[in-house]
Formats: sequence, C-alpha cells, structure tokens
Amino acid sequence: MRTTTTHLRASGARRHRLVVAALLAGTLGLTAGCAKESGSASGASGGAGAPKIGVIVAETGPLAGSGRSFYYGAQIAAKQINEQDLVPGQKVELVSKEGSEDPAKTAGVAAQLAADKSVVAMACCILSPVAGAVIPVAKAQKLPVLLWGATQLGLAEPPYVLRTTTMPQPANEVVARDVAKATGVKSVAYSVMTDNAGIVSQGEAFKKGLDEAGVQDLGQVGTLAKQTDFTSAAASLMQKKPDAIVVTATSSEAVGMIAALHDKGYAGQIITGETVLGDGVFKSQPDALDKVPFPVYYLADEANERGKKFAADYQAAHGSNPDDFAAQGFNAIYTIAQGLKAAGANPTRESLTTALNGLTSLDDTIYGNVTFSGGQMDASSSVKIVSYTKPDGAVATWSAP
Amino acid sequence: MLFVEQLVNGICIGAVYALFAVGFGIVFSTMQILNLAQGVYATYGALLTYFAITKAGLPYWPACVLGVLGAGLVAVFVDQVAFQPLRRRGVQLLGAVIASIALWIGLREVMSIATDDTPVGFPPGSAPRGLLEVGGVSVLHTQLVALVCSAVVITAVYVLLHRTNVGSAIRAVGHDKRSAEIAGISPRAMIVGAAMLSGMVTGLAGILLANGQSFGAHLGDALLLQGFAAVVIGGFHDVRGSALGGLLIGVVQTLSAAYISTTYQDAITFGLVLVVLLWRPTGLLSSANLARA
Repeated sequence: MRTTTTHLRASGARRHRLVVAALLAGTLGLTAGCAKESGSASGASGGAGAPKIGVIVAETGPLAGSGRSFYYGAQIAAKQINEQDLVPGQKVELVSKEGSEDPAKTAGVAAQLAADKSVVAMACCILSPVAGAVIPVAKAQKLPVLLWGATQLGLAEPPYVLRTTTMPQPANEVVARDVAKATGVKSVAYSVMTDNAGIVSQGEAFKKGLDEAGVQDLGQVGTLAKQTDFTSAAASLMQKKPDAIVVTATSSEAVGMIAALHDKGYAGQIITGETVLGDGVFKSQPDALDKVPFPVYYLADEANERGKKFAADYQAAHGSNPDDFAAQGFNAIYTIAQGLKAAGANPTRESLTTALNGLTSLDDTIYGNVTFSGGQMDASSSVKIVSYTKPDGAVATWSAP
Repeated sequence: MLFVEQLVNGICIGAVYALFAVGFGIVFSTMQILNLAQGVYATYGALLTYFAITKAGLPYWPACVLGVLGAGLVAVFVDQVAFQPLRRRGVQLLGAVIASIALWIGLREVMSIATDDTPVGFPPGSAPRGLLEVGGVSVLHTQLVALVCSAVVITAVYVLLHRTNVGSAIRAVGHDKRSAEIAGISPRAMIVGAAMLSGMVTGLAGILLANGQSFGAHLGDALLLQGFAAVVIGGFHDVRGSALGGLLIGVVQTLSAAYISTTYQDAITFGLVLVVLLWRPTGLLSSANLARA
C-alpha cells in the first residue's frame, strides 16, 4: 500500500513538474519569439570593407518609445547616405546593439562595438548617465562617439566624444521667451525633476528665458524621477497662483504632472519641454497635452529639402512623420557620414576622429545650417514652438489661445 | 487650506499604498515569502484593465473587474511556477526571493512587449476624471475612488481573514502548515487562495494608481518599496497594520515633499521605517507570535 501511495505521489509530483515546465517554456517561448534581436546589423548593409557605424539603441526599456525614434532616424540616414552616395565610393553599415538606456548594459555593448576594429564610430545615448558610462570606453578605445540625445551640459569631450544632440536648453529659452510674449503672462511657477541633472539644466534655461521676458518667478516645486503621484506637487504649484507653469521632467513624469494640473482645473498656461515627444505619449493623456507648447528643432511640414526627403522615407517605412528624436538619430549618422567623406578612402578611427573634429559647420543638414564648437553642434536657429493637436496628436506649430 | 489639501492628497495616495501593502502582507504571512514580483500584479491589473477597455470595448468598471481577476491569476501562476516547487523542496526565503526576481523581470518584459514599451492611459471618458471642491479643498474623483475602494476592500479582506472559516484556515496555514494539515485543512488550496487574493488586491492598487496617469510596464515597480515599508511599519501578520502603514507612508511622504524637501522625501519616509523597526520590530499592530507545544 505504502509503495502504491508513494508511487502515486511520485507520479503526481512528476505531472506537476511537467505542467510547470510546459508553462515556463510557453512563457519563455512567447517572450523570445516576440523579443527584438540585438546585435544584428541593420540599416544599410555596405558589404565587406564598408565602414561600420555602431549604434547603441534602446528598443526596450522605459525609453523605448523615443529610443525607437532615434534608431529609425539613424536607419533612414544610412539608407539615404548610401542611395545618394554621400560618402563617395563607400557604403556605410550600421551595427546595432541593444543598450536599453541602462548604463551598465550600454557600457558593455559599447565595449563590444569598440572591440570590433571594423567599427569606426559609434552613436548613442539618450540619457546623460548612460552617456557617462560610454564615454570612458570611447576614450580608452579611441573610438569617436557621437552622443545623439543626452542633454546634460558639458558632456562633449573632443576629440573622441562629440555631440549632435539638439540641446534643449537653447530651445527652452526660445520657447519661454516667445510664449511669454505671445500670451502676456506675468508670473510663473516651475515644476522641476530635481534628481536629474540634465532636466535641472533644462529648467534653468526656461527660467532664463522667462526672466528675460520680465515674468515674475513665484518659485519652484520639485518632483522625482520615480514619482507616480503628482497631485501634491500640482496643489503646491497652483497655490502660488501663477499665470503660467513650466513643467520640466522626463517623459512620463512630465505627462503625469501636466495631467495632474489639468485634472485639478489649472486654467493658466502650461509650458513644457521636448521630453513629451514620443510614441504613444499624446494618446496616453490627450486632453491634458492638447495645445501645450514645447520646442522642437525639426518639424516635417516646415523642413528644408533634405528634411522633407527624410520625412518622406520615414513615412514610407513607419507610417508616420519623424519626430525630433528621429531627426537627431538621422543627423548623428549624417554627421558621421560627413566625417567619413572628409576622411577619404579607407577611413580609420584616427582619420575619422580628425575629420569630425575638423568640422566647424554643415550647410545642408535637416536643420539647415549648423555649427560646431568644442565638439557640440548648435542648431538653435531652427527652433520651432509646437504642440500636439487633437484628435490624433499631430504635432503642429503652436499658436497662442 | 493647502495643508488640509496636502493631507487629503497624502491619505489618498496612502490608501493605494495600503492596498498594495495588504496584498504584500497576505503573501508574507501565509507563505513566509518576500515576493519581489508583487509589483507586477499591480502592473498587470492596470494594463489588463486598459486592454479590456481599448481592445474589448468594455466599460471601465467591468474592465476593472477583469483586471483584478487577471492580476489574481498572475499571482497564482507565480506561486505555482516559482514558489510551489521551492516549497516542495523545503527551500527557504532566499531561494524564493531569487525566484520572485526572475518572475518579476520576465512578467514585466511580457507587458513591455504587449505595450510595445509605449506609455498608455485610460482613454478619456472611461475612467472617472473630475474635481470636487469641498470647503476650499479640491479632491480629484480618482482620489475619492481610491479612498473608497481601498477602505471597502481592506475591510472586506480583514473580515474574510478574521471572521470566516476560510480566513481562519488561511491564517492557520500561515501560522503552522503541518498542524493545519493535521486539522484537515489543505495547505495547498489555502496558499493558492491566498495568492489569488493577494494578486487581486494588488491588481486593484495598480488600477487605482494608474487612474489619471500615463503608465506602462514599470508601473508596479514604484509601489514595491512603499508597500514593503508599509508592511514593515504595520506588521507582517495584521491587515490593519499594513493598511495603517500604507496610510502613514502616504501622508509622511506627501507632507515631507510639500513642506521639507522633495529631494529627501524618500530618506524621511524610510527613516521612519527604521525608527519603527527599532522601536517595535514586529510592527505597530503586529501581535506576538504564540508558540504552542
């Protein structure tokens, strides 16, 4: 009897293990089947000997929405560079690695790209801490890296660390000044994410613009990166009775703050930064984001010829107009291509580094004319003030209510 | 008036933390497991509700019911896949914690893929959105919903656990599994029931937190620390303690951010956890464990 009972128990346990294993295998299979591949070459494939550009992308993780935009823009750039033979006699090839905007992971894949001697340049990094993790790798391996999104001041370190990020700080000054002038606001309060240095500097730029416009500063309320409830911060801001509130935070947090102000019935002018751009952001809170002005450097409908071609190819590939993040991805690869062109045949890391550091301006970018100084690109002449519009969240030129 | 409004804000977010803490505490008191995948139940509750509204076209409240049930089933899945095999082998706390981390990451990635890692929000007109002015204090409808739902559910959970035979059986299994088994209680059934209850309660916390927000696959991560701290403050074995701990954390966090410093609000909140641990290691309302021969 005992033996039978033991045998029955063993069978039951085995059956349970099989069920658990099947459930686990199903879950893992679903995840693996849907997961994006990393490390695969994408964008244009240039063939043997083609100069390779490593791109560290963020198609997964909290910044995947904007991360994808950057990557798609880079892919379109590589495609157009090869089609138009912008680097005479050479076809560029993108080698992508998934970094998920995680500093440790990104540093690891940067090291992998740096170890591949056929990679002559890298482009990466939306977040400043992630850029900070890549910079030592780039400098140690003498591999030029173009930062395409990180916004903290002072990140560019020539000759190996250059930045084509369209810096939000100059854009924020412009939008602050122009919105104040257009709406006649007399007082402002600020919501600033205080535990992100890049965001803090963006907030300071807004302050500078509004100070120049003669708007009274009523003070600041701080928020945090991991915050999920903004009702308290909204109450503190509204209690100051400002004509305008400037919201400076990363994407979800900025949207959460704007939504809290909207729900609390704030009727004044809200101004925010470019971080509210991205896939799905408008749809998550359409009522709150409608007509809130923010700056961009690139707007497809008002772009030059190169910008319109970029938009057309992007629309064909992805079914929507490229946003500012896609434009930055495009421009980073375009800039590297200009460096490759200047470096001549058989570019090496050294010759490309020299060529990139020799760039002082580029005339025909999607932003029009841009200049370079101290490793940093300046495109501030192309800043536009835009807002989302209902019902579909199209980004259009903002006009005062 | 601003102070009163901030107090109300603190109580309302504290109600969500309290709900989460109750779910967290049910798992710990029944299974003696520190379940780091608990936050995922909140995420699943919110996102399943979102999908029920946007893909199945359900109205908000039926979608919430679906979201809550779905979160409960996810909790049962986690228990049976991760914790049950470990229980069978007699593996203790550390093994369960590691297993819960693996499930946390895996389940969160599933939702990242399902949402394409883009933020979502309950569509306009679906979830209650509005403002109530009471004596100069403005309270959002979402806050009222959170307060009322939390109060009702926590009371119901307390009654279930302390006034019904099923609840007594669950607590008996949590106290001494072997003795409960001898008394004719099925420990496995009670543990599955507790997992389901824990998942449902936590899923509801996720839905209430997601109201009025832009959220994604990382929603529940934000609740994990607060929920754990609430359970530590209130006591692991008492629903009322977990609820009180959650409320206290919500109020302390909100008032310290509003009147002291946003930068140090977490330091202040978790400093409070430390003080409570030093003063009453078993928590504010935890009763002493009785050991019977």
